[in-house]
Amino acid sequence: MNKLAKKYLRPSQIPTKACHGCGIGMIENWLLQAIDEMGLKQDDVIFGTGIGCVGRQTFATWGGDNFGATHGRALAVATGLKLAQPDKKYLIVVGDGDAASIGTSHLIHAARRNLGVTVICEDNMGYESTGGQFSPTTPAGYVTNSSPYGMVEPGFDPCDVVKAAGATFVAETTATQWHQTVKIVKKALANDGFSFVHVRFPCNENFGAYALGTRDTLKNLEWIYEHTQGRKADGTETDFTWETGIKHDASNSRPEFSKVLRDMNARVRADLAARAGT
Amino acid sequence: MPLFKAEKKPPKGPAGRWDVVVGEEMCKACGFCLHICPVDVFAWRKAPNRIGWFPMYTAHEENCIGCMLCYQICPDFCIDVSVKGAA
Ligand SMILES: Cc1ncc(C[n+]2csc(CCOP(=O)(O)OP(=O)(O)O)c2C)c(N)n1
Ligand code: SF4
Ligand code: SF4
Ligand code: SF4
Ligand SMILES: [Mg+2]
Repeated sequence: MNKLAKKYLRPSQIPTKACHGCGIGMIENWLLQAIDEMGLKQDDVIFGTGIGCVGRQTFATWGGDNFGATHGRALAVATGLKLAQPDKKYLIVVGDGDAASIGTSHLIHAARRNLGVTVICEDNMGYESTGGQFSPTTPAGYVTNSSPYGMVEPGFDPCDVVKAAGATFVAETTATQWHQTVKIVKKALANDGFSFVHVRFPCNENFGAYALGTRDTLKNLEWIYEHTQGRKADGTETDFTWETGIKHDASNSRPEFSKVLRDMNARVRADLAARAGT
Repeated sequence: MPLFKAEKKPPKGPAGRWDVVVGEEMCKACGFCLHICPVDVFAWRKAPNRIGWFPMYTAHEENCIGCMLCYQICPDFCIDVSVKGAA
């Protein structure tokens, strides 16, 4: 086991429940690097999640405090926790289905309120833990378990959505950009406000099998790499390219939600005390 | 086969001064380390581990240049690379 896994993870959960070659573990390894480089201890960070492959692994393996909410509701629980324990860092690690589908309204309003948590949306382009159905981030035309003739619905970019809603830090990377992901997660955690990091990663088991026609771990990772670069190994252009990098950085530019509420609480108390005195 | 070009050029140290440890009992045999290592340090075991995969092992530690690509890419936290004697 690598040093950071020994330092931060729960030994009883290793090996993890993820399939072989699944990108979830890579991203988690980079989250650990960001946490370590920021000098954070197990006690300083709370991991939270909803339901799904991403959630199951990441919440189960973190050695410090963690919680598993119902599908799409991680941010509702995180809001309560942040109000109760404002000094902790929160990593809310959820899937694309969780963040961009069933939990979108929680996502939007957490961004609007500038809740001080970092959401890592780990995007395998579908509902993979339930067998590979399409989600709002499945690329147009791609075959999934529930789109045998190809994805016909238009998708959306969750980064655009949270930015429009008021998130103060928004970024996107993929599972072939580890230096960039570590750097970006550190910035996200340093923002005292709502940070959103969208990371695409390979799911060999379902997305790979349905959309790419292969469970070959190397081919699946290669596909992510090509769509990050916009170019295939043979030099031709890919059908689309993900735009990665920091999309919006207004870190620490407006008050964090739990502070706003505590300030208001103090004002109400002062007001009540003044009235009781008269 | 090189897996893909690394995002950043790996810093290269001299070969022969690195400890490469693979947690074979937790390896799920994805093959990423084998394919990303520029100097062929890894090889497959011929017998399965207790979770049923034929794991990777450090076959040619002496080749290692400490680029850390295998450590970054392993999805199962298996690999540690450190300067000999430092760990
Ligand atoms: C309220 C509710 N609705 C539906 C489900 C069934 N369900 C479990 S996981 C999942 C999809 C998860 O997709 P995503 O968030 O992208 O995670 P992934 O498994 O792809 O990592 C669904 C629909 C559920 N558990 N709870
Ligand atoms: S089903 Fe896909 S996303 Fe889920 S653990 Fe397996 S490879 Fe990873
Ligand atoms: S650090 Fe890993 S990838 Fe790099 S040379 Fe050594 S064994 Fe190979
Ligand atoms: S990258 Fe990790 S899990 Fe994959 S084969 Fe190498 S040691 Fe095993
Ligand atoms: Mg998903």
